[in-house]
Amino acid sequence: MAFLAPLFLVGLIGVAIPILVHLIRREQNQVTPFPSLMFLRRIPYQAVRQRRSIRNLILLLVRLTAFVLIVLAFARPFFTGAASVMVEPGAREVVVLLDGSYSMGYSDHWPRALAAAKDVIQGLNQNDRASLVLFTSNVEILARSTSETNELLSALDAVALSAGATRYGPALQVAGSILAESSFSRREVILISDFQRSGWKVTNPVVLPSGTTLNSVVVNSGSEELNATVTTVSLDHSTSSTQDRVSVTATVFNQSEDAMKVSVALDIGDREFEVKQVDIDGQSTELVAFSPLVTSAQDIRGTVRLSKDALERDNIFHFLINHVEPLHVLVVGASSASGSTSLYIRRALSIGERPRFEVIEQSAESIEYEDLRKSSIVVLNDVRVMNTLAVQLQKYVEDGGGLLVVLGPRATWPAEVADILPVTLGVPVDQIGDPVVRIGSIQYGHTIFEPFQLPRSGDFSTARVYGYRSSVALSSSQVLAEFDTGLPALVERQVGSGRVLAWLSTLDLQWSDLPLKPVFLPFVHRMSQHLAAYVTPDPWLFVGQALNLKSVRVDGHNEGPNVVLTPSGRRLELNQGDTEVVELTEQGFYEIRGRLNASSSTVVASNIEVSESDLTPMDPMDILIATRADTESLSTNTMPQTREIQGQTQQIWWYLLCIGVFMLAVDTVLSNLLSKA
Amino acid sequence: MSSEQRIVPGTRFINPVVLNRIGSLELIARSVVDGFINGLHKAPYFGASVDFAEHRGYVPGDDIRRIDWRAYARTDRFYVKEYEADSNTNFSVLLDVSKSMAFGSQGLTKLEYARILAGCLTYFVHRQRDRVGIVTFDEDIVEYVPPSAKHMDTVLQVLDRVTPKRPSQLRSSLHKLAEHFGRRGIVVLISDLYEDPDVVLDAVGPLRSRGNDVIVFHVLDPAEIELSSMAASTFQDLESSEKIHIVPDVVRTEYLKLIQAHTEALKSRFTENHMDYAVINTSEPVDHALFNYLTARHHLMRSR
Repeated sequence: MAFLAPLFLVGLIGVAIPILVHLIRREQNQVTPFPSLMFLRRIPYQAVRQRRSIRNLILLLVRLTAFVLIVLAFARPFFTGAASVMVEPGAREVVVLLDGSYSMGYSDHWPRALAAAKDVIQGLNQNDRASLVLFTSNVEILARSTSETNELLSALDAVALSAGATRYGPALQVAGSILAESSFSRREVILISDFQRSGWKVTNPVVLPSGTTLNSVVVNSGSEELNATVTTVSLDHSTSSTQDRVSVTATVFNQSEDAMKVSVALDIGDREFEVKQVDIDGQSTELVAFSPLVTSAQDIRGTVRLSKDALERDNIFHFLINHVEPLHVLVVGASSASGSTSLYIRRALSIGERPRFEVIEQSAESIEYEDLRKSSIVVLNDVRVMNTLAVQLQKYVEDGGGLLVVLGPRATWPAEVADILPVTLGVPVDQIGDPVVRIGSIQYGHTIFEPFQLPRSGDFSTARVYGYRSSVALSSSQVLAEFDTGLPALVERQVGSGRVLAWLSTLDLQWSDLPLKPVFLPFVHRMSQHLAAYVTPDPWLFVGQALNLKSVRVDGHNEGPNVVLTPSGRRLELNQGDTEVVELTEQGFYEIRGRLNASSSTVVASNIEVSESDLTPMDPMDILIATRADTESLSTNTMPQTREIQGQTQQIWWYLLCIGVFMLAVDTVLSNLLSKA
Repeated sequence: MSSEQRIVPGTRFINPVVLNRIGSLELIARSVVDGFINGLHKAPYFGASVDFAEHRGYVPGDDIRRIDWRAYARTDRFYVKEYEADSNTNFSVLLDVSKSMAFGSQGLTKLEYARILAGCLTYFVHRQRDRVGIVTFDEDIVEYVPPSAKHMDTVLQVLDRVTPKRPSQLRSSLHKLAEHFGRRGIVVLISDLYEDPDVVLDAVGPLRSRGNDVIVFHVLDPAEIELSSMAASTFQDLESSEKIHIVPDVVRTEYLKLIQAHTEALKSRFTENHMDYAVINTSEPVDHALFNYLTARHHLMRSR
């Protein structure tokens, strides 16, 4: 028999205490004064002494036994040689699941995990087969069903920690599939991990093959060391007439119970921009605000770094300060029209920072195609469109441009040009004198109206419509909003690479008071962004996310990247036809270079999942219970495993503790009975 | 009479509860009863005797031989002497104050109990106009107060200052006392009687043989009687300091037999010698104990 905590055996010295007390009490006994021993002297003494010893001895033995059992329980005994008695005959199929998530980099967890895996591999019998599986949120089979110990050890030597988070479900699924294919009757899974609670998110039950034994190796050292995490960064943009500024604020969380001093540094590009020192209480958050920095015409890489602690991976947070080009909006109005027709559109588009809108007004007569091409969006504000302009607009939209057609009372479209309008142009309807028309039905699922779907996010029904074009939407179009008369108010149509939106009233006060409503400004912005296919750039992504390269614009173009450089320097060459989704597996900056121009590139920041920094442990028994196929899989055959595995599997300490507590209860009852008697 | 009343030490031993309980009873010496029955009884209260009691103012018709001329010389007034009647009894309490009497398992020691018993009994008798006295003893006589009608306060003072210091020697102490009890009276022995019954009888016998009415109160604590509520420990004799390790649970049966045999032997011997004997358990209230005893004695005397 061996002990996991042999130092507790020193407590057995305490067994001598009740014996000593027992002996000493017999000599230094309590003295009771009594008037006369005249009668007591006459009673035979020998019988008294003998009877007394027997009674106390029983109580003494009960107490000593309870004490010894409890001390042994704390020493965590387990049988080492008993395995040879209980082992079933036959070779084993073993799957070693090694947790490679970044949380394993805490303290000495990773070296302990590697040592445990090595113990298991070296403990395999000649006929056993083993698989080595490294898992994070993904699963990688490093070696499969092999009896070659050298192969397994080589694979183990090549293992390195990743930036991924922990997910037990997929790993157990893979283990189950390996074991299901095995012809061996004895199957075993050895899970080596720090058993983070955040990693156990199994929505679908994982059931291992019947008869599988699941053993867990917990690598937590038990000691708590200081660790702080950068959980997020906020970027506050401010724009003045001369320059754009960004204020960076880092959120730092102290994972430890004790307070700690942390040095927080902000790197911009490759240089250190500013360093701040903060004191953070245990399990508390501090916001660290840095001085504003001036943005440039290019994307700026930023990194927040913390001083060294027990887990370094979560000390770094990368981000991008994206330079966003303004959207060029060409508002086309009639030369004879008053300035008030475009006043509200102009004013709405003048307010906005991300993106900014640069508005140019031109009359329909003076438009050239070049003017259209330079614009992200063209707004035809209640104008008569002649043939020439219509042709130009058609080409513009088909080439990917966005067109907003405001169909007021003056708006026309030549019938000779292929119609790109999403509606058949109807007659103007004047509602003055009649009951007011309002915007009744809205497609809140569409990207234009999505921000307005929550309560108190903007109410279109308050706008009063005095006039509109009575039109019918084409079958190829999508009605996004209707008047309460049932007629369309806003209709969209995809034309070529671009899209057209038709608004069947005015965007001034002529036919409605919508420009005076609070929803007008965000409504105009959403339509403009949708037409320009504007996507708010993400300042960062997370490890484990899939990066859709189609959505990445390199140098303003979206023609598909060619090369992806990972933070570690790995180069991914992508040919035509290759999948254009790349999984982010590393922490740092990914560089995507364009197909057309190799010298231009786009950068994507990749960060680790901060939830992985929460090292709150879970009980491995939860996994054991969730994965068993039947009770047979909870067999307790003792194998030549690590001491910890043997100790945890046998749990002799639990039985000893229960018996010891029971003996104490017996002692209490016995002594009460004796005192009453 | 002074406006300040002097408080006599020992007054606390006169328990009103006890007195109230026994107030309707009498403790009359057998000799008085016998004498009365045989015609020896004279005046019930004051009469001619050798014991001066008090002065009374002369009234025409009194015997002029009883005039106290000395008092006349002092006061120019005529007083006659009053003497205690022959029917007034001498009442003495023989109180054992040895160290064994200092034992008590329920807050009240045997000596405390005995003092209350002695105080109440003495007062009770004094109210009957009998003469009261007290003797305290252990291995020797400690204090001796001869019976007198004026000695009530003295008795109470003796009771107040009594402290157990020495072991007891019943025989030698009581033999010495017997010489002082020439006149018949009532003698009440209050003791725990830790002697062989024959030794006790030998000690008390001389008092009886001189014609005294002897009453023995054998005072014992409940722990002595039943050996109850005592843990296994080393028992130490209060008088000899001898030690024995005892487990009461084991020896109780045997012990009860021995103590019962002892009391029965004492009862037998006292009864044979016409002496009253009562075992007094200190857990029983004094008034109960005294009432029971006096009632029994009263019935017994009536039945003669």
